[in-house]
This record gives sequence, C-alpha cells and structure tokens, in this order.
Amino acid sequence: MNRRDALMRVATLVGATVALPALGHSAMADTLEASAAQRVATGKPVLFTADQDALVADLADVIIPTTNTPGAKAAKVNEIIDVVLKDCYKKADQQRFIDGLTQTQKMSQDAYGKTFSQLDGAQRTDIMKKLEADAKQQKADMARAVAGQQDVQIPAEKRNVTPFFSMLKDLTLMGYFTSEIGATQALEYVAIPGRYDGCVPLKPGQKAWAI
Amino acid sequence: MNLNIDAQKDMTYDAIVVGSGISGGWAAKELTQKGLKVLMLERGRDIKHVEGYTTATNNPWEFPHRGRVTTQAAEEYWANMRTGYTANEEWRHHFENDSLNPYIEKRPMDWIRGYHVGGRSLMWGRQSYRHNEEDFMANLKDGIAVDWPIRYQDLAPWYTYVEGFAGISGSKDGLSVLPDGNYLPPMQMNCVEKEVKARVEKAFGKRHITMGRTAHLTDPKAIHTELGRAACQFRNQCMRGCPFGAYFSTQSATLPAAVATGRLTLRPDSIVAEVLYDDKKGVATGVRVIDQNTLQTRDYFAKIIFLNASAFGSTSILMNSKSSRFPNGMGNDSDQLGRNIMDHHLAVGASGDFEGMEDQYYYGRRANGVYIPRYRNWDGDKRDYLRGFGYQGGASRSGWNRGNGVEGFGADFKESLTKPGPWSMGIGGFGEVLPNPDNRMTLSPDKKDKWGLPQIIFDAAYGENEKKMRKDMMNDAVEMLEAAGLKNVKGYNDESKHLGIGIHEMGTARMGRDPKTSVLNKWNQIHAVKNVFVTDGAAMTSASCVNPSLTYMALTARAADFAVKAMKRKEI
Repeated sequence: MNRRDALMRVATLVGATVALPALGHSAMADTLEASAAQRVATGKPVLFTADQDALVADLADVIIPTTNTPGAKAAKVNEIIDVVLKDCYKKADQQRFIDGLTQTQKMSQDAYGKTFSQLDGAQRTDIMKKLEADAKQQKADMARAVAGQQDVQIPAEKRNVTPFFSMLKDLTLMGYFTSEIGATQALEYVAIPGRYDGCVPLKPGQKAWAI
Repeated sequence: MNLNIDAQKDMTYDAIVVGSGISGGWAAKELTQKGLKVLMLERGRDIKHVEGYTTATNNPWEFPHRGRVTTQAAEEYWANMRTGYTANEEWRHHFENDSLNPYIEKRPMDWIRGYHVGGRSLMWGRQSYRHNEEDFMANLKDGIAVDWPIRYQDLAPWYTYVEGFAGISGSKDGLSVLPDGNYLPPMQMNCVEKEVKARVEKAFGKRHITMGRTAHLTDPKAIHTELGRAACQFRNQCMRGCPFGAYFSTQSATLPAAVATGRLTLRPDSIVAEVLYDDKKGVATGVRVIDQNTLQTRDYFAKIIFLNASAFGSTSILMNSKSSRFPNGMGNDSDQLGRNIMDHHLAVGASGDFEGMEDQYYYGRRANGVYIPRYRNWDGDKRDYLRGFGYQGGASRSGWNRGNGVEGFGADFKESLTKPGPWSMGIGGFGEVLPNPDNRMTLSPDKKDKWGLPQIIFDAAYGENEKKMRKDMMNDAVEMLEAAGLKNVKGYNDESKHLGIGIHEMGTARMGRDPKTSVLNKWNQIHAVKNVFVTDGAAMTSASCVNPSLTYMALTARAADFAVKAMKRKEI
C-alpha cells in the first residue's frame, strides 16, 4: 500500500461525515488558560495555600505600597503571581518560591515572635530588607562559584537560580504594572493613541506610559 | 477517485494559488483582477479579518499570564521559543505548535510558521525595502552561485505598483544603496533618534540613519480606504492582527481586493500534498489536497499553478511531486531544489544609554524604528567578507521594567518607576547570507507528519562569510553609538541562533538563467514546467540584506502579469 492509498484509506475510515475535532488551537487555549479561569471561578489559589496567598499579598504590598495610588494588594497582585507561578514556572522554581515564603515566616517568627502579617510597617520593611540582602549575597556566591572560587560550595544545578526575593520582586512589578490599577493609575495607559509624536516636552508630573 | 465530468468541472479553475500569505494573497489578487477564476488553498484554519483577531483589543491585564509563556506552551512551541517573542501569549495563536508540526534538524533550523489564512502576513515585521541595482548583480560580480535572471530595472515598476497598493510609509533619501519608492509619509523619529542621526552622519559621512520604511498606512489613499483600511493608530500591537487594517496583510488588503472580483474561491484547511503532472502533455494539471481535519484527499485542476506556500513549504510540495519525468521532485532537473537556504543573520549589535533630553518624551507607540542602510563593501569600502548588513533600531525611555535592575522597594521606589526612565538606544544588524548549495532541505524517507506527508530534514548552517561579517556588525554598532555620545555602550553577538531566526527563509527553488543550475526562470516559471510559478522566498537567487517581503510582492505581481499574458497568447 503506497502513501496515497494509505491516506485514502484513512479518509474512508474517518468518513466524509465524521469530522475530526478541530486541531490544536481552541482545545489548547482552554488548557493553557485553565488556571486563571479556575482562580476566577473558585476564588481560590491554584498553587498557593490560602495562608501563602495572603502572605504573598502582604509581601507584594511592601514592595509596591499604596501611595497616592493604590498598591499591589489593591491590585490583587497575589492572584496573578499564583497563576503565573503555577503555569509559567518549572516545579523547582515554584518550590524555591514556596520555600522562600516559609523562610520569610520563620524570619518573622525568629525576629518578632509573630507572623509576617502581624508585623507593623517598619517590621515588614525590616524583613524585606533582610530578604533583599540575602538575595544579593546569594547572587554574589553564585557568581563566585561559577568563577571557580573554591571557598563557595554550591552544587552545579543551583549556581544559576533566581533568589526568592528577586522572583518576588519581578512578579510583583509585572503583576502590578500590568494590572488595571497599575497601568491606568500609577502609570498612564492609552489603549489607542491614534498618532505618534516623536518629540513631546515632558509635562510636570508626567507619568510613564504603561506600554 | 471516480469523478464524473461535472464534479471534475467543479474542481477546475483557471488558476490555483497554494498559500494565502504575503505572496499568495498577491497572486490571488492579481490573477482574479485580470479575469481569472482562482482557487486559493490554505493549509491552515481560516482567520477572518478583524473578528478573527481574538486578542487584538485586549488590555494588558486581560491576558491570563500577562503575556508570559506557559511551561506547556514553551514545550509545544519549541522552535518558536528560540525567537524569544513569537510564543508570547499575546499572539501565540498566530504561530504554529511545533510539536504538532515536527521537522528534523540534522543541523538546527529555526523554522517559524503561520499556518492559517493570511499566513505570516498577519505577523510580519512589515519593514519594506527594495533590493538595489547591485543586489541583482552581486552573484555575477562575486562569481558565486548563479546570476539573477533579472535586474533592478525589471522589477522597479513592480515595486512601485505593489508599494502603492500595500501602502508603504517611508522617506525618500536619494541613496543608491536603498532605492526610494512610492511612499506614504514617513513616521517620525523621536528626539534622541534625531540627535543620534545627526551625530552619526557627521562622524561617518557615508553612513545614514533614516526612518524605517514600513507597510503601515500613515496617510491612507482611496485605494486603501475603499478596502476598509484605516490609518495606523500607533498601538504597536500588530502581531495580534490589526482591527484597523492599518498594516498590509492578506486579510486587510489583497484578500478583499480578490474577493471583490467575484472570481476567488478561498479554501482553508487544505494542505497541498503535491502538484499533479501530466507526463504526456508535459504540464502540471492541478494539485492534490488533504483536508487537515478530515484527512480526505481531493484533486483540483487548473491551467496555471502559483506556489506561494513559503520557501520551505513550496519546496517540500515540489519535492513531494514525483513522476516518471521528475523522479527527484518537480522541476528538480538541476538538483538545486531544496539547496541554497538563505535567511538574514541577526542577534548582533549594540545598545547604550543616552544622557540628557530628560525633558523630552513621545506620544504613541510607533511600531517601527530607524534604519541604517548598508555601507560595508559599498561605495569604495572593501572588507574581508562579501556583501553587507543594515541595522534596525530605536531609542526610548525605559519603563517600570528597570525596577528589576536596581535595588530597592517601597513607596519611593514605586514612585520613581511611575516616571519615564532614562533614554537608551539600540541597533541590531540584519546581514546578508550567501547562497551555499550545501545548506539544504530534503524530505525524510520514513518520518511522516500526521497527514502522512514526509517531514522536512534541514541540514544547514551559517558559513564563514556570515561569521566574519558579524564582527563588523557588532563593532560598527558599538563604534557608531559611542560616536553619537552614548554611554555604557555594550555590543553583543549571539552566535547561538541558527538559520531561520530572521524568519526570512529563501532560496530553495532559485531563479536563474540556466535550467542546469536553477529551478525557476526569469518569470518565476519552473524551467521545465511552464505553467507552475513559484513566487515566494524560494525564488530568491541571493538574499540582499534588506527585508525580503516587498520583493516577493513585486516578483508575484510581475509573474502574474506575465502568466495571464502568456495564457492569452496560448503559450501556457
């Protein structure tokens, strides 16, 4: 049986009236967008526990607090972080983020005997500064390990990872500035500019374009 | 298949156009407007103009992952992931799932596809430049590959014609290296780009910076508005599909023009397996189509056939069209079919910070940049490699993203990110790739795709000429930005990319003067099968360093004009 005959046979088996399911696009879009839809439908996190979800909301709000515009918590940045971590990050990265949350609670307990969410503003900032310093140290250690410094003991698979604080900050900035609040209140968003002016003098108080 | 005469009549057209992308759309438009009854076959699904652009008007917060690529998509769109942008959530549905459409890499090939009505005309970069006079003589003068069978003067009137209909915005600069065309008004440079242009042109007399010439309607004419097209709204969301029809695509321009004739039949979901050949008459008679959903096969017949399935697509169809006359694939007497894969090599250039102009900003999102035409091996310059490169680039003020690169968090940090950041500018090279017969594609003897068609095997890579050129591409970029006063200028030369990354694949059924060394003649006809025309990237004899789509449009319009005249003369 040559190829053409084989195809004809498949065509006959399938039959003129039995259409195969549409290929690819619609079916796949469903699975790829399922997490976001699930979070909206159930109101529950898709990766985090409820406690982790609340902690992420509080942490993000330290990075982007409410000023004269609403902050990260108001923009529900925890929700997009939950969905993006679930769908766009590898398991090892997800785990490092979860471990970072656990570590943050431990730091909070060790320093103040309270959970992060029970801390006042200054205490929260203090913890966040420690997380930032830890990330800086971790990056420096990784760079030295890659450079072959003998005093640094980091296994090869952990020499090029993004520290927890850096992941948190990246996801918070992305989540906030692409949110409706971030894009339209903290920044200036014009859906349809209608024209391009190459040179426009900056006005006092001019905000950056959202996109 | 037992077809009665009536059924065969229903499946018979004056012309069949295979593919609905940039060149296929042009073939359908030209042939229908010249009175032919045309069947346009598209292997992928239909995407209707405007209503089919599902993400076109989404706000940033309306994307489930804010544009990021999911791990599942990253796995499935493995070739697209190499570009760094085509698998993004905003427009991934316009690119192909590589796992469903596998190909074989003897050496790596970045093959980025768009299987749907409109093809890659929906997602193209829209930069539109003419080849210059030297481009058409380069192979002859350098003594490599074969000579183009046409010269600039042969194509010039067709460039003018297609530019007028497509709507190309650009400035006329009077440079022989970048011939001027039939343009709508250029877009504007921003303040920093203007300043860098002045400084570079002062420092290097023979290097120029011009506004990118792009297929956007900056000032639509009646020929555009009567098809429902409107002016560019400067959203810079083009690859999602433009609801204003402001950039040239099949959907916005050639398809409605062809439909308006009443002579076009468009058939999506129709994968052309092969071109049918009549050994006795020595002509092609039609094509065999596999329905991508039902897998049913069906034959269609026509007097002429235009192959516009993209360079590799058209070539694989010809390779799969075997007959006693053409045991190695239709039109492959020269053994050049599938060879000479070209593209433009890129991912090399420089960027730096511009200090000052802090009181200046811009309004709108310009889907275009500045262009630095080729100056190497030109006008007396001589390098240790052949041909040259151009740069595309632009200046802008950084946005909130810069927050990841600096320390800090909290109220002051947040407020600083709501202000426009410092200016920076980058330029990236697009270099000419030489034709090399060892850079080739073949069909797998055993591996098939889900439609039973042989998978393509790629065996191609950049050569020494490209590698030498890249040193200049990086160093010159650094040199120009530094001469323009930019600080912290950093050059880059990412050699991890492969042929195909420019998404300008070309050359696999080249035009030439001699049937022994080329596949197509000067009218894009297969030398030995005069009623089959190939007018997509496969036809290119050399690559130039400019973006190729405008040349495909001009070649297609010219070939269609010839085809219809030849039919009237009963030559084909």
